[in-house]
Amino acid sequence: MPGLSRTSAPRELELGYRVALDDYPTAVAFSPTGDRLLVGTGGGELALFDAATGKETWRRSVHPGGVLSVSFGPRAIASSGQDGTARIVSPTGDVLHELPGVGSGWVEHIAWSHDGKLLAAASGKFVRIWHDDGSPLLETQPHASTVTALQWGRKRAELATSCYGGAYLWSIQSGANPRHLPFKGSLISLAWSPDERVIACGSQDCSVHFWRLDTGRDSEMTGYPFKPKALAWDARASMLATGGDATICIWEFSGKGPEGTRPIQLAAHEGQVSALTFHSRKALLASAGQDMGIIVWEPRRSTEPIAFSFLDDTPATLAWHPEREAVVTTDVSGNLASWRLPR
Amino acid sequence: MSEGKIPVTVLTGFLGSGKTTLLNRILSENHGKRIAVIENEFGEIGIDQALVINADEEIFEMNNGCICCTVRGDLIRILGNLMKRRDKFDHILVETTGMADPGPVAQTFFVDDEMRDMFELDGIVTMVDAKHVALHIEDSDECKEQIAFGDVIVLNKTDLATPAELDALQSRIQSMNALAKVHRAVDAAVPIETVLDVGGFDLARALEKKPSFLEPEYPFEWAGTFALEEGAYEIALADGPDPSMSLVVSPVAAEAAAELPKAVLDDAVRVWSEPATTCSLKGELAPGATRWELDLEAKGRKTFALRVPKAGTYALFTEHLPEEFSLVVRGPKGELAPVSAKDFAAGHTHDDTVSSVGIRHEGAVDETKLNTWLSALLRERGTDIFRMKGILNVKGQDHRYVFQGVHMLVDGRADTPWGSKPRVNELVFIGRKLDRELLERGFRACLA
Repeated sequence: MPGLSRTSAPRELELGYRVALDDYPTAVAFSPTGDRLLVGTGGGELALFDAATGKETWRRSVHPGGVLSVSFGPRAIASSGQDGTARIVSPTGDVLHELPGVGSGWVEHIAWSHDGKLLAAASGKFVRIWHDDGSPLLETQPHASTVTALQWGRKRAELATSCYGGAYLWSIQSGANPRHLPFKGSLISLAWSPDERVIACGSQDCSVHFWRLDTGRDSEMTGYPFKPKALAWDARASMLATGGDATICIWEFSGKGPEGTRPIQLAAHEGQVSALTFHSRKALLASAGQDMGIIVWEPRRSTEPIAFSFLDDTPATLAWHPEREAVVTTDVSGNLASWRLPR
Repeated sequence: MSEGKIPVTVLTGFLGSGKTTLLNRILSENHGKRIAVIENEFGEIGIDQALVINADEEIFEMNNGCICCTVRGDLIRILGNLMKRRDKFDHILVETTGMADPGPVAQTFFVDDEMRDMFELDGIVTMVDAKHVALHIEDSDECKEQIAFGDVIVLNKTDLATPAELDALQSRIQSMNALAKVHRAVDAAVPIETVLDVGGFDLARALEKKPSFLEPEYPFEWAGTFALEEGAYEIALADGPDPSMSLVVSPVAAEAAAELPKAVLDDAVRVWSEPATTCSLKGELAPGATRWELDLEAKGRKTFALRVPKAGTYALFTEHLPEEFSLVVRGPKGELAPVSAKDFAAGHTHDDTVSSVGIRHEGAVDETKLNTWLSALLRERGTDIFRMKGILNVKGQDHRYVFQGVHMLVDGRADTPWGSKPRVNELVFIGRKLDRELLERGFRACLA
C-alpha cells in the first residue's frame, strides 16, 4: 500500500472480533438499530450474531442451494435464494412466511421498504411486492430481462430496479406504469441517492450511468477498466463513489457537477475495488479490494487512507455499523470480522 | 486445464437432436464429477433437479455493438453465484437452445473478466440428428453455424440412416469444420470423455493428443484398390464437371488392399507433384510412378487402355471422384469393383456459406507481418470467422506459437519447443464465405 511510507501514515483498524463461518458469506445486513448482524451463506444458511460481540444467536438452513440476498427490516428479517423462494423470518429465527418466486427461477434480490411494511423480491423478470404479514400486494409487469438490482426510496413507496435495457421507477401506491430510464447496455448495479434525486447504475460495459429524476437528464462516465459493480452514495447525496478499478473514483454532485468535473481519486488499493460503502451519517467511506485490503477514507479531507487492514482472503462483503464507526467484513473463506476506527 | 479453473462445456444442437438424452447420460453416469447444468429449454428433463438451473437466455450486446462483445448476461450472473455454493462443481454444462448461435456463450468466457478468472471453456459439443439434419444442413444458417463452432460433433441416431448417408453426411460436416472430432452414436451413447474435458480451447492439450491438427490435403480426391491379373484392362470415363482428369496406378502390397497405408498415399503425393504425362486415346496407361493426364478432348465416353505387366494388387488414384466422370475399370470379365475405396474430397469441396480453410506451410513467420495481417483480417471478416486455430513457426523463436480464436477474439501464446520436429505452420479458419486463395496468399506474405 503506497500510503504506508508517507509521514501521515494511516493507522491500522482495530479488530473487534473475528468469527469463522465455515461457509461462503453471500449477504450481510445489520439490524436497523445496529445491535444484531445477519449473514446469509452460499450453503443456504442464515446466521444471526450479536453485533457487539460476534456471539452467534442462532443459525439455520433456509435456502437449499444458497442464500442470494438478505434484508433486515424494523420488524423482521427477509432472505431469498437459489431454492426459488423468499422467506420472512422472525428475529428469533422462525420462518414466518415462505414466498414463492416466479417459475423455478432464483429469487436474487430482496429488500424491505424503509418502514418495514413492504417487501420487494426480484425473481427473473418480475418483482413481487408483499405485505409484512406475507400476503401478496402486487407483481410488476415483466422487465426487459432479469432484474439485476432493486432499491426502495427513502420517503415514498417507490422502488427502483435495473436490468438489461435500463432502470425503472415503480410507484407502488399509484399502480401506474413505471418510469423507464432507458439505457442500451446491461445494468449490473444500482444506487439511488439518499435525497432521491439521482439513480446511478454500473454497466456491464465498464461505465457508470446516472439519471437526474427531476429533469430526466442522464449522463455517463466511461473508461473504467473493469465492471463498476460497487457504487455508494454518501449520506448527503453529494458524493458517488465508484469501483471498477484499483483507484476509487468519487463524482461530486454538490455543485454543478459531476459533468465536466474531475472526480476525487483515491489510490491505495493494489487490486480492483470490489465493495464500497459510506457511513450512514458521516462522510466516511470504506472500501474492500481484491488485494484483500480494507481501507477507510475521509474523501472530503484527504485522498490518503485514514485506516486500513488486511483480510485473510478476498473480501466478500463490507458494511458499516449503522451508528458506530465500525466496519464489518467477510471474506470468501468465511471469516466474519468487525473493525473499529482507531481513536 | 489451468489451475483451479472450472471447465465449461457448451452443448448445442437442434431440438430433437438428442441433447437431453446426452445430458441425462452425462449426469447419470458414474464418473464422480459434480456437474451443474444450465439449460434454457424448460421442462422435460427428468434428472436431479438440484443440478439443473434454468436460465432465460439473455444476450447482451455491449455499447459498441461489436459482435465479439456479445455475451450471455444470464451466465455471468448465474455462474458468479454458483461459485459461492458450499457444494462446489467440477464441471459446468451450458445447454443452448436449438436456434442459438454458440458465439455469445463462448465469448462470455473470453470477454468478461470475472468469468475468465473462474472458468475455462473446454469445448463446444454439437449434437446432430443423422436422419433429419439433411433437411436443415443446406438451408439453415443456424445449423451450419452450430456445426462450424463444434469441437466435437456427435452424429446421433445413426441407426436411422444408411452407412452411405452417414459417410456423405460426415464428409459434408468435415468440409465445413475440419477441426471437429466427429463421433457416431445411437441414443447419444458416446463415452463421456469424448464430450467432457476435450480441451477444445486449450491448444497445448490439443497438440499433445494430435501434434498436427490438420489432416494433410491430398491432390487426389479418390483412391481405390483392385486385384488385377496380368493382361489388358480398360479405364472408361464420360464427360465430367472438370476439364481435366489425371490418375496414378501404383502396384501395392496385397495387405494394403483393404486400407492404403499413409506411406503409399505419401508416395502418390510425390508422384503427383511431378509433371504429368499425357495419355491419348490411342495410348496406353501403365502402373508406376507416372501421373497420367487423360486426353479429354473428344466428347462423350472415352476408353483408355491399361496394361498390367504382373498379377497383383494395384491402387488407382484419381484427381476427381470416379462418379463425377462415371469412371470404371474394366477387365476381360467386365467391370471391376474396387476391393476398397476412399474419398479424399473433403478438403476440396467448396461451400459458399460455411467451410474450413486449412493452410499448411513450411518456413518461418515474421511476427509483425502476421499480427498486421491477422488483425486486419479479423477486423474486416471477424463476423464471418467463427473459429480458428494455428500453430506457428515464428522467426527467431525455438517454441511453437499457438493461437486460437472465436470471431474477433484471439488468444495466443508460446508453447512447447519444436526440438527436432519439422517446423511447419498450420492454420485453420472455419467460417462463412471464406476465400481459400486470399487467405493463403495473405499468410504467405507473412513469411519472413
